[in-house]
Amino acid sequence: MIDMLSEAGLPVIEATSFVSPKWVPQMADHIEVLKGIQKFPGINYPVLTPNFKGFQAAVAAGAKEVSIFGAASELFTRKNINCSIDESLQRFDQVLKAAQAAGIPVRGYVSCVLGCPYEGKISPAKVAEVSKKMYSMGCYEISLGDTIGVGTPGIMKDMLSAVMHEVPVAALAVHCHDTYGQALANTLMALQMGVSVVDASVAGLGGCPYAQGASGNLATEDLVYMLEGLGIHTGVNFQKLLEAGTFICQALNRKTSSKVAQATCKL
Amino acid sequence: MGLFGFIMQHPQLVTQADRSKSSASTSSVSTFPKRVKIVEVGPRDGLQNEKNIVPTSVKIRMIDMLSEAGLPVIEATSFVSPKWVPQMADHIEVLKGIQKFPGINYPVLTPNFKGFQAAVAAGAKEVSIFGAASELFTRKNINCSIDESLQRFDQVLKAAQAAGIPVRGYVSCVLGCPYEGKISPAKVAEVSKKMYSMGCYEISLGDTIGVGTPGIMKDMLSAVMHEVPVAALAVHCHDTYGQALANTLMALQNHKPKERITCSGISGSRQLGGLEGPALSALAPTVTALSPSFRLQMGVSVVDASVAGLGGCPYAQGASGNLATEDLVYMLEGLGIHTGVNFQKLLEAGTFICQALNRKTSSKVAQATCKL
Repeated sequence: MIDMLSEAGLPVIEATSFVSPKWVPQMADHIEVLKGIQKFPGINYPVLTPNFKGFQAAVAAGAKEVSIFGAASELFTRKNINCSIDESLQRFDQVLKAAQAAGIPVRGYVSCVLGCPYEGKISPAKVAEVSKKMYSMGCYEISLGDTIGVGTPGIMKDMLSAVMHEVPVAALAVHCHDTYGQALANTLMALQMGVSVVDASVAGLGGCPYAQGASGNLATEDLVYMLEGLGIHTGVNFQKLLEAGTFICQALNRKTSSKVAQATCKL
Repeated sequence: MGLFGFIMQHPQLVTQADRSKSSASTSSVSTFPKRVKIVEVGPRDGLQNEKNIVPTSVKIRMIDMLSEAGLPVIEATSFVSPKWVPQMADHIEVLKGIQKFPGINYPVLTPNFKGFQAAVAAGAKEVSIFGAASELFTRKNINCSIDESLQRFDQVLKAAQAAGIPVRGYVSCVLGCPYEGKISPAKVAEVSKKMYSMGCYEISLGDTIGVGTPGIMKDMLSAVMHEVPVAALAVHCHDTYGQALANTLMALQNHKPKERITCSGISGSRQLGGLEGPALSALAPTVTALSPSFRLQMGVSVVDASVAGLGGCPYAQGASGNLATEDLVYMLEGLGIHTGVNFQKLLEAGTFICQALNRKTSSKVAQATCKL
């Protein structure tokens, strides 16, 4: 799957997560995956590292870029990893210092930027505060995630306005979930605000642990379709991207969540 | 409780009534209309493209539930020959059987004068007619040119005017055609202007095969707005390629004409790799130095949608259909735009018709809130 995505020309492909198999069994083979994929020149393969131990294992397995997670919601952080936001960032400080010493770029994710399953509304100021912290701690890029997909374009705009006061827009990315069908509209608004990095998932893979039966990430195919239509360069080979999506859906024995793939599928 | 219950307990997640305050003092980024009229086309455009024939009583119940949900316009049926569209064979019974809520309009499609007469006899108070921005599409569908098709409708429009019956005009293929491919904005503007001047009170611009993207939507609307007042325009987006809501968002935004955008305002353009044409005008963010005499273009404030995203696309096997009303309302409510729709009752109408059709909903909001 990853090799096919590389062939499709995606410039960054998040390959796996160095998390304990006890928590995420799907990612138990993280070492084999990272070692087994073809590393195309010009393509980055970041891996998630939830803590310093994961970071060390990732580096030992050859990782050249890592990602860490924060959240804009205290309750969400408390329920997920049983500490406060500040404590969670302190834990990552060790990772960031080691990464800096090793010359490994670190991408920072902020969850719940447009709403939280526990806290409800999230203030743009809080998102800006957490983003600023992670950026100043050394993350080269901050990916702002609408984790439960509740956001709408006006909320996206207000949140970005606040964050852009603290972090340069060139260092920002948006990561929209399509739980309520808002992902592409929210992404369009973010692009209008000047954001130029967008996270997406081939075939719209993923789901939402907080909403039974809900859909997951923005589908990469549908995103690329819009960007191409807007005349925006992506470097992606659309046909090969579609093939990668077909491949993984067949392997997962599930239908694609990409509308573009549905429209072009002849089966 | 489920996420829907959560959302209903945290209405601040879906409304943003105080948004307008914060942008008052800054230069205006795109703003939105305060109200949007939703034209619900599920009972006609939606059902027409569903393969399972739905009993008359189900259609009537569906429309009554949509009325209870407060949708201001519900396109009830089509007075077309059953030979062409078997799903709509019961048009007389449906129109006579539905409850006519005060303040709600129930237009019906009338493909020709005969259909118009039958519609009026059955009690229709508003009708819709169809044109297209593509000659080939018109030729293949009804075997004549666009001009000839409009001439045929002239009889309908004159009779409607005499009877005091408003006529809504649809223009198909406004962002692309399955036969011609790219469609010029000028052509869409020309057809829209004709239909408007012939007497249509509103022109619904349809991305029939869903191929459009936001920049193309904007260019098309810019051209049409030179010929038809924006208050008389509606957009009708299909979600075949997942673009419907993004295209609709673009249509709702007030935009500044391209030539007024100064480079200093486009901080993101360098990262976006040197935009030109539709990308530049579509994505130009906040412009900070506009002269006060600058006149803003108004955004579209009428949007067609179909409950549960019913319908399909006869040109793309397996493709999805209309923009789902639930997903549209979710976005509008989040933007603080008044719709008059009771969201809970809208969801119930969608659940009802999907059960009757024995199909899954295409609305993401409905999927997220469904406990089944």
